[in-house]
Amino acid sequence: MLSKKIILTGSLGVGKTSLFNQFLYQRFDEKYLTTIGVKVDKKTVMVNGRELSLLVWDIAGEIKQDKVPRTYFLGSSALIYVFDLTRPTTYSNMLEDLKYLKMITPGVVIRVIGNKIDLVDLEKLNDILDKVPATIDFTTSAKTGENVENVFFSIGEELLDNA
Amino acid sequence: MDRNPQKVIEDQLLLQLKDVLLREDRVALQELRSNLEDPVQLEQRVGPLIEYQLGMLRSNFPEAYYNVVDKMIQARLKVSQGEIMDTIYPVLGKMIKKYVQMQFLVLREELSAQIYLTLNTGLIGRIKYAVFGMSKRDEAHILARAKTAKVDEVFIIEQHSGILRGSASRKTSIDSDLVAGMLTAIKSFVEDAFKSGNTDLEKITYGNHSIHVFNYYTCYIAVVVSGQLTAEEEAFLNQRTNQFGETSLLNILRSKSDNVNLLLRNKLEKVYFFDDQEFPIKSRNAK
Repeated sequence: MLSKKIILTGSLGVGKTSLFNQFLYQRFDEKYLTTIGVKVDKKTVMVNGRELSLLVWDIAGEIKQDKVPRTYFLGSSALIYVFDLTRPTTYSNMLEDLKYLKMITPGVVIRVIGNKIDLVDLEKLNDILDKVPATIDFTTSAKTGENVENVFFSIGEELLDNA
Repeated sequence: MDRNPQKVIEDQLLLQLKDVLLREDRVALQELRSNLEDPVQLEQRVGPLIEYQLGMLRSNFPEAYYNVVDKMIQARLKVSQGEIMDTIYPVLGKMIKKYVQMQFLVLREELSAQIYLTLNTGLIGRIKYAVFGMSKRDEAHILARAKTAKVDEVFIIEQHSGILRGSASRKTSIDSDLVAGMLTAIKSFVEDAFKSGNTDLEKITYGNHSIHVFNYYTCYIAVVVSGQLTAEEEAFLNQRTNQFGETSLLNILRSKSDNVNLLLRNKLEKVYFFDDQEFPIKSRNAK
């Protein structure tokens, strides 16, 4: 079975751990507990009839990605860059962050995720999407589970295609 | 003194009116009084209410009185510290005594087993020991073997990604993939936090266990050891692991086999677990 390392990264309090917990255990906790260091867990998914083992690294949030220990990114096959749709400060460094991440992890699959969709209505969402400086791949809600599986599924598909 | 006849009539009428109006109330009052005064009837009426209230108190007690009780206990503990210690000391003493006895028993059993192994060298050996006794070397050897370190688990993990390539274990532990992932995360953190040239994390120690990390270009080997290794044993572990890492490991990883995991497990078991009880170096000396 193919195994791949996936990194969840982004600014502080954007919901990386909640996405991690929602994807791995289908649970959501309203309490906010900041991640210290990194948490690793795995999940085996079936993508187009093929088994894929995903080793997911939930990294402590940093305002700028160049503050994250660089070694965490090494050996990864995919990166999920998460920001909070309700907090502009979490996507204000997005372009610099993505440029940096692409530089240190060349060839790695990257997904940009706007989380906490449950907190914004459609009108506000369009307004936010206009302001976000890069293309968003998915809008998700770790709380309701909306699109969470799809993010990992789309990554799995691309990784298997590239394998 | 004569009373006013009119007034007398009015009083009588008033009494009759009172009788009529209050008759039902008086009956009810009488019934209530008899209920209150008769313990059996009173219990029948009030009993369920008290039971209900007690039930409520029982279920809500921790929430409602936690802080109060907690403070009371803390205050009581502070005041009675001396008494509590007097009560606990004998129990603690017994527990420690029992633990020490148990450890001595284990040590004695291990020594007996080692003595049996050392002396069980055939007729000539038994005659030699009977005539000359046991040499200092034999004694030291028996004692050294009594409490040995052993390799419990071995993991072969991809550098950086933390993906497990193979593992072998004497016991069922938690998910090996998770161990590999978290170990790599710790390794990455340490190596990033204390940047000093090309140095790598080499050892993690916790209690009586240690994880020895051997780094290679594409992967690293993590050997989990229980017990304290002597310098000689550690050197042997290093030598044996490097020998394996530089030859067999590379060959297996480069092989096109679909069963790399299985091949690695078999090889690791041969390299590290060939003696079921002890660390390899001891077995080698014993032979």
